[in-house]
Amino acid sequence: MSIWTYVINRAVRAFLLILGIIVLTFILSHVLAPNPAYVWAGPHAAPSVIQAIIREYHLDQPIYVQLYYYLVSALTFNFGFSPYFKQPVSELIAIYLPRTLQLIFVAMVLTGLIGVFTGAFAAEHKDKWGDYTVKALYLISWCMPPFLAALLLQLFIAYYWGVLPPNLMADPTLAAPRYITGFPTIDALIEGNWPYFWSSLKHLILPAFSLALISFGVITRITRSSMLTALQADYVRAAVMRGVEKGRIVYVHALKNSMIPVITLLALVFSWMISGSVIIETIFSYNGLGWLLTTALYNYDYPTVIGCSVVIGIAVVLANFIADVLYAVIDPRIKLG
Amino acid sequence: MTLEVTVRRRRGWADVVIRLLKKPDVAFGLVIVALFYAWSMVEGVLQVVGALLNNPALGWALLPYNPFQPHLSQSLQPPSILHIMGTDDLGRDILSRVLYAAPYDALISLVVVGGGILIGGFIGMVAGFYGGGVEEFNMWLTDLFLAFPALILAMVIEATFGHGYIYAMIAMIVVWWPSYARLFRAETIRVRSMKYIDAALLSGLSRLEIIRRHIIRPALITILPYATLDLGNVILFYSMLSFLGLGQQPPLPEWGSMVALGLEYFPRWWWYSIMPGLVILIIAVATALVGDGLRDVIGGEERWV
Amino acid sequence: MGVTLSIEDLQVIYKTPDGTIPAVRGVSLELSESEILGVVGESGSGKSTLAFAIAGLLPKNAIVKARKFIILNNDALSSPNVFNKLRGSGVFMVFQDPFSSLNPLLTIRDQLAEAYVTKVKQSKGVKVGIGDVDDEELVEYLKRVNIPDPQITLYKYPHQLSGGQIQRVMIAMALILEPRILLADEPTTALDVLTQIQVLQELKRLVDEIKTSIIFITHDIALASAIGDRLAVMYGGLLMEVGNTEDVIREPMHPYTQGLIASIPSKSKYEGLLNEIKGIYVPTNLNECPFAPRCPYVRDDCKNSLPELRRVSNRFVRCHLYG
Repeated sequence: MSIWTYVINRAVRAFLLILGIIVLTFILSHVLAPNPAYVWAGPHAAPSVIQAIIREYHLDQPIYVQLYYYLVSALTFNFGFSPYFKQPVSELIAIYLPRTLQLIFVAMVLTGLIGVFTGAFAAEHKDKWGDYTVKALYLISWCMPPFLAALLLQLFIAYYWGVLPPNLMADPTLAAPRYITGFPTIDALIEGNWPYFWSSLKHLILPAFSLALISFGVITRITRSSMLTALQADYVRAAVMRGVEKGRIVYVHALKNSMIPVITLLALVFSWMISGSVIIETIFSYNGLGWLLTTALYNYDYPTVIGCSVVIGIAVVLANFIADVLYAVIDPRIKLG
Repeated sequence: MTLEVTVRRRRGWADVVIRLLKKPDVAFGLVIVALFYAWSMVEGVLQVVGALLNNPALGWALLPYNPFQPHLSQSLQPPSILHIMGTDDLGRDILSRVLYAAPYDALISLVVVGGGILIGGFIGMVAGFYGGGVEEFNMWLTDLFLAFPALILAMVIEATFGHGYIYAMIAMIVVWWPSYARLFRAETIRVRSMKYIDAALLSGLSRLEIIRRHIIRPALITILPYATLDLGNVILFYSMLSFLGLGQQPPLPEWGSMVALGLEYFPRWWWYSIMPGLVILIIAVATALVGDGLRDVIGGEERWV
Repeated sequence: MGVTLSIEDLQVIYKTPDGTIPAVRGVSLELSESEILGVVGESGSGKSTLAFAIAGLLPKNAIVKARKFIILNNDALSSPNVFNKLRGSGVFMVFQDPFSSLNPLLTIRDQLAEAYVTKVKQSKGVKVGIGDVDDEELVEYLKRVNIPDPQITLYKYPHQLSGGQIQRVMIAMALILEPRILLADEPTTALDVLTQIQVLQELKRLVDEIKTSIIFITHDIALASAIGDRLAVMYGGLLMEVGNTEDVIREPMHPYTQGLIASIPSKSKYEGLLNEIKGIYVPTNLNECPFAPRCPYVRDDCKNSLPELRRVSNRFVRCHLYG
């Protein structure tokens, strides 16, 4: 099985999952929901609005017709109209999604770095103080509620120490860049808007670090245990036998082999981070998709909630797909067949 | 010619507890978990009896202060001897509110994990036992639920059906069962391939008996460490839901929603948000320690993912 | 002739949660330059453990004791770092399972280059980088072990080669390192006969050109006798018979050795059942002969005391039959 067979196989699987997610949200929002019209129209909707909603979303048609329209609109990224924000949901998502993506990207890099190095450190100092300290750290990371991590960081680093800004995406007195790619930091870079660029970077650090703090534990754990396994492997013994230095053994032989499960885990971490961003963005007033979802939920803005959820579901499936492909690239046994 | 043979004694539960207590970190966790559930049981009973007898004061009979009564003159006091966790904006003692809310978390943790095991266990065992198309379908369904981030799915469910404690419970059970389905299916498949199942069948045990003795019991024991850790996960998750306003409604105290309410007063009156958060952290760590300890003692599945 | 290895009463014990397991129970031997010692035994005899002990590759739960344990004039008992110094061009080992000898994520070229780097470091004291190693030189080594299309194979990954090819790569590594002591643990078991012959020839070349001492471990006494100058027969963690190959094969003294030789399939097809040594290895205590449960000549004193490894005419034998 060459790499192409593998990739296509994974792609098909991803597509089926995406379809499944769309159908699942459909069942929830159209079939199981008590009185879908009221839910989709939003609270305090006038009867005329409700009638319009029923026509708009075809809620008076048989289920399979509804499903057809729902699928088509979902696949064309049409998620309806937000009663709260008074805008098409897809527009809202287009604005807020990239902001969260850039936050998660930074957070994942941090998580990967912290996790891999603490894991390698723990493996190297197994059963000594270094190992125990790392274990304690990762236990706290695993059990830490996201809001507590965010609040503690905010309290100590932003408010007491004053080194980093406590909230928002950037200094509000600065001019924001135009919408080019949707990623504010990148747009500022493209425009040459240096003040905004640096400000947005500074504002990214605490939220990204909060996300990383609650996620790194699992990477540490898997790196440690796969390093320990790799260090016991026969090929490591063989490498020792031909005189390879300890440094190269740990950081070339063992670490490379340990990366494979880490990559798979990063997809899972992505999923957690999306969930975590819902809370972290609220605390840092970082207006991204998580903040959008929370606000929509709070204000009974159902179309936005569904739209965000579908997009999030798709994003997670895609993240898993990318991880699968990366896995194939790193492991030559899959690449070359 | 002799060989050293060690005979392993069948471990009783008292044995397990003693071995757990031998490790200091696990012992610490066990004490906290035991205190938490014991307190929740007592307080929960008091609240229920109080409601039935129309005397709600029973609910705070054991608490330092009445968690509902405002004392505006005492509002936003920092932690002190009088108020160990400080007071909130209405002057209510935070510790009392935390203690009052405890039974809700204890209950939801048991219900969701129990429900997850029941539903997930059933689906997983059916999949493992019958194999073929049934297994494929069940696993595809499980994968689908697992692909969706849990918190988002729970939010969507509550957005559709309603906010509140019971809705949160139901939403969480829906989100929780897939992991157990996977675990039970793996256990069933592992056991199914072992010869003693055939032997049991041949010796005339009914299918039900086989399922009960050879599949359910060992599977439960294997999954016990993970389930214990999961209790903490449920409490963490529920705190996030209630932070978002999807749990109990005010004025009922709830750890997560207290954190959310306290945001307005952060960072100057930091104890309002931080204290409930710390409580959640401690209980989650305690369950994780016990779960880990159980795994070392019983040798269950290693599930940290 | 210099002595490369000198061991007296070597013991290796594994500590496990279920108790201690003695793998090597008191082995003494000496190895000279340019000598090939064939160590013959079945699984559980301790022959692989013996090799790992000399290579310094025993797991952490292994305890090593000896009256004397000198490798290339270094005292192996003094500190674990002794082995670090010795590895590469001092002591090298070829493992039994070819597929566990190479890192699946690195190319053949990189792993051969590692050996090259070690050789340069240990012989000339110069540190070169993995990338600086000349591919052409590595290709030469692959040619010497008859690897087809060596330039292409050099950049392949281990899973793309057959077991036999990997084993030849490991021999090429040995040729690069030119070790003073080579431990070969069943190096040809996975190979076809023609490749086997080739590998053995290359090993002989190492002995002739570099004066390498080889410990050749195998369960096949016929193979050991084909290549070894001396034979050591192991059973139950102890040496049963040690002597020059010719002597031992022509006139095996220990009942176990006799059984091994007798069970070599003979050329004639018409002699009925294959001979075998009845029974399987069963662990015993140190106050009886380990082979007693299966020995056709067993007597009472075999179950009451462990015979010593005694010099008898031209070899050493551990058996009550001889004194």
